[in-house]
Amino acid sequence: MLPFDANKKQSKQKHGRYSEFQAIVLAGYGHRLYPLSEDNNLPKALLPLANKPMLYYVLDWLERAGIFDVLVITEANGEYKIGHYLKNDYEGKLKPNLEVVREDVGTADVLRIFSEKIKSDFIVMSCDLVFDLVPHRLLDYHRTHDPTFTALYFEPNKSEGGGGSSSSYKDDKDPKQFVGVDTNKSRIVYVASSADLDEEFSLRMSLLWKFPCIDIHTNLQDAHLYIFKRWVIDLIVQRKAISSVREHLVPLLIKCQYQKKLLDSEGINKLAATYENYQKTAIQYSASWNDDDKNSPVRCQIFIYKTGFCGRGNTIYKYCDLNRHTTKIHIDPRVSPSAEINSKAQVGSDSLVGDDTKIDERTSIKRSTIGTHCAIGKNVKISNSILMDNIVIEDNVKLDGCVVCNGAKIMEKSQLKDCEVGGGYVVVSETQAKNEQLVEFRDLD
Amino acid sequence: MPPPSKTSGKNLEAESILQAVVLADSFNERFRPITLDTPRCLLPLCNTPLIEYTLELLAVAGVQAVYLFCREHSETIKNYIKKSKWSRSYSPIKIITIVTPEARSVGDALRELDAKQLIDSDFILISGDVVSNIQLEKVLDAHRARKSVDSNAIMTMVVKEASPFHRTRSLGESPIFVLDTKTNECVHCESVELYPRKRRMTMDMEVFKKHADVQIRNDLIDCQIDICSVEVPALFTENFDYQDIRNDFVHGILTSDLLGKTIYCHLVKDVYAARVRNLHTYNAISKDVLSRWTYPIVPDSNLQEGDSYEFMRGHIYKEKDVSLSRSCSLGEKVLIGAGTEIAENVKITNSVIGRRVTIGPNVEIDGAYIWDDVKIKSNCSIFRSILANNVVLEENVIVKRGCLLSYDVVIGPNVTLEPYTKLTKHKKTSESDNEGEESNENKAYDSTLIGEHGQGYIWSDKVSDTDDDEFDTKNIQIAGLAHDISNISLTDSDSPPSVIYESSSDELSDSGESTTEEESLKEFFKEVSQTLERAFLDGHAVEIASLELNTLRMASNTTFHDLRVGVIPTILGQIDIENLLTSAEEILEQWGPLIGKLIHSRQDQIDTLYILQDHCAIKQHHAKLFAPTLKKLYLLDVLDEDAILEWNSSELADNDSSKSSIRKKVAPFVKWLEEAEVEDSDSDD
Repeated sequence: MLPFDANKKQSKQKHGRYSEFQAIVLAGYGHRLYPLSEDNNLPKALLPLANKPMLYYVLDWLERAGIFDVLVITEANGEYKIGHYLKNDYEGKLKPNLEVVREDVGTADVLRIFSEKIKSDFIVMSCDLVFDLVPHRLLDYHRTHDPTFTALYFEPNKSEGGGGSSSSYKDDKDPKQFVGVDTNKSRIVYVASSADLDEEFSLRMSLLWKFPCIDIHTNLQDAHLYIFKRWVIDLIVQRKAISSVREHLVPLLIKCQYQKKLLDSEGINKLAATYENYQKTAIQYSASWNDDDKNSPVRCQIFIYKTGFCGRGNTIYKYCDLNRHTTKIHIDPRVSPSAEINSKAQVGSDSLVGDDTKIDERTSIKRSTIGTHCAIGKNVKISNSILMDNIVIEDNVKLDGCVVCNGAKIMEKSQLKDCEVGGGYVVVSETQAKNEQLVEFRDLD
Repeated sequence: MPPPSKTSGKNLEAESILQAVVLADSFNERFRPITLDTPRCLLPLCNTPLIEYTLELLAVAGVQAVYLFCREHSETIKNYIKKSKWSRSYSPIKIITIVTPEARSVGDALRELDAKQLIDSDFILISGDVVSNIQLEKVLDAHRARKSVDSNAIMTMVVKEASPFHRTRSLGESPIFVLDTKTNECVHCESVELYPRKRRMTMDMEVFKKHADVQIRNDLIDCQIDICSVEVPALFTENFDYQDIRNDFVHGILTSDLLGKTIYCHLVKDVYAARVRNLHTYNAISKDVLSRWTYPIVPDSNLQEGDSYEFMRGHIYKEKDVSLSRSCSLGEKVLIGAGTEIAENVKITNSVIGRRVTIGPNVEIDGAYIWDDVKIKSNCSIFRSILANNVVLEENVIVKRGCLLSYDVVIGPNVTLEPYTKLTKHKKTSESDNEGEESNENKAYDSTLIGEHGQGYIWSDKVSDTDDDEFDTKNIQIAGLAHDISNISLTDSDSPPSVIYESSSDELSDSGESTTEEESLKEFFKEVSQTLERAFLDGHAVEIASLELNTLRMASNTTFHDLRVGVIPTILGQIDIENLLTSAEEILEQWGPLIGKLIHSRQDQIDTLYILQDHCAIKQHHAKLFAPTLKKLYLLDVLDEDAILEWNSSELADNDSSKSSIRKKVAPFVKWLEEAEVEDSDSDD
């Protein structure tokens, strides 16, 4: 777009490629993934999906999108592990920069902190997003509409059930999202969560005059992937009160589409005007230029991904779903060549086994993902489960729908159903548990 | 007129006869004063009575029986139908006129229909002023298909997609429809008034339990064509309070859990459908007919017997026997009826001219509707107005936009009619307006307004008794003939912007938010003083007054502080300034305890003192009242000395001279209090 822009030259030297977009990957703590994301296990970004960290999928997508200027932002407790992963284990071509922020800052605050580093239009995404959307479909959509931001929403795929964790983690608990989309221009014009609404659903008339035909969806989910214009950073810097991208920035911009007063009061008119839009000038001269929105400095597009797979691993339930899906489409050898599997053991074709894992005789593994360096004893039955790395499972253990974290040990004759076993935790022999979280108690402070 | 195909007729006979109910009365008075003489459905649109368009539509759809509901001018309508082609032996439809002089609404008409038990299958409910070329068979088929899927479907409303500002979409009368995206089931329907301006549309969250995706549409034209099941009239009978079909019936059905009935919308896009609701749409639809949007329903289809319109270049339609002078010029979209004579140098654009009209030389006509037998003498100009039958304009008359000259009115010579003038030969002698009758009895025509030879009275639209008549007239104005859409503001520039994040919301929306809050507070204060004045007048007990005030406070969700702010000045206002001390004594003796009822704590007392102080500081004539009031309230035990002393010792926020002077006035009293307290404590020791 701007091959001779001075700012871009720098990044050009740095990466040897020109970048149209920068990407900011937010690798947060993952509170809703307790106990998987505890310090004794892994930060959210590194939780394995089909034996690869979540972050890998995000970086892979960015790589395919041709975005090389990537900033991964994490909180202090994840710095060492993620840094280690990026340095040693990550096998993609990207060279992401890792930055650390305090734990309590919002997503927009993060952008404010690193505003100096953001030089072009940018993508903000979460590290827990896994989707098979061909990158150029989204980027081209953004390029043609050239909006202030494009948001990715998806229709959640039907869960295959038999979930890896207790049913209490089902996403019924999530408040319903209301998304209003202008039917003709696929503009996103309204967002709300049922948690904020009472018994009444109400829209401003000014919205209905500006966008007379609005589809209200209740079954869409926010993928937390946004492509923003550069000037939005200036807005964030100017307005300290904007702390979260999803809760403050996006609703503000959406409202700016039809509330003129807001444009002035937030100084958005000025900001948007300072931004010189070469592309708009180009489109203006083309025949397909459509005039009607010329005067509105803020336009918010929505991209609804319906046909393929898309999901976020921000709860245990969804994480298990994601793992099941990624395991299913995994193409590498399903059982690592370095794994030792007893000839009398059965590993279903729907399961994965990582490097150097030993599986003893008469053990059966179905619909499960086993990490590296695990030792699984005799006559063990594992189904619908995720086992991370360095796990010891003794003889005659039965696991169904469980998530077992790094370094855990499950002693003989235990039977667990729909449980999470925390990092390094030892399950004593003959434990019977259902719908439980087996974790070591730490001091809460 | 395309005759209905015989085959389809036979098929229908095999099942049952297709019935339609036509509401010939609009149950409103939009077209007054013209409708004093002619029923609305017989008003000529492009020289063809409105009802013809509706009947034509029904005939094409294969309707065989039409029940025509009339209220006013029923004889005129009956006679018209009797003489029209619809009463001939070859007429495809049979029209049964039902006269319901007592019906006041659509609901009444449908209840009458139910009582008569005339309907035995799905029927078309249509108002007698719809112009459309929609193919109703398709809509009927869709309705039946829906019924086979959803047995609770009782009605299909035909709506047309258009821009929200479409000319035939009468603003302020087109509701917002909320539809299920997949099935077009109507889940919510909300009317949109322009005055007072509607700020938000609101619906029940329950809707989302049944419907995952809905579409909110503010771009639909309600064509007022409904396909109804047999149950519909019965439902009207059951719910005798249903009046309007949209606001009451549809709303009632959609919000009722008990009935469990569903209503669907049928969206049409490429056809024409509009209803002549008011003068604004009358104008728009006339233009559309001339521009052939309504094809095949256009003037040169010659719907009526004896029509002989020919379509010419530039959307000019001319009947036989029109005599045009050599030098007259006809612009685009002009329709001229038979027997009309147009003299030299006449300029006509965008207009409809009736039959046997004579137009004198040098006349300019733009956007006007001139009905039959009008005489326009030389040098007149007419802009965007309606001249009904037999109107006479003498020389040099200028009719500005939006005027409505009813039957037989004579104007001129040499006058100019201001915009939106409505004139009629009827004196305003309606039963409802007895005073008007008297005053008009002997009143001659106002010759300054309508000229020496003028005949006619000014018609003013009935002003309703309610408080918001300002809004009513505004709403009527929008519906007027020549109202400019640009005059209506629809952006929310004057409403507060939304608050998105808390911390900065204060600074950014303070100005906006507070205005509405102020307004509601003002309203509240007004009501408080009204309540109190009633209490003063009727001599209520303090308890009753305080109960009333409390109810008011809760109803308007305000605080006791607000209540005190409202109450104290009103009570002080009762005090007779001339006779200050005794009057204050009397009033406070009676009403002081009321203030006491509004005080619950020390803080409240101090707050009361501040309110008193501020009030007396602002209202100079009440300044003198401060000291006596304070004393009296103290004596009544409304205020105690601690509160007064605390108040007195507090700093004055700014060096407000009037406030400090107020304080000086009570200095002796405060001093006395202080001393009394010292004595008190002394004696305690």
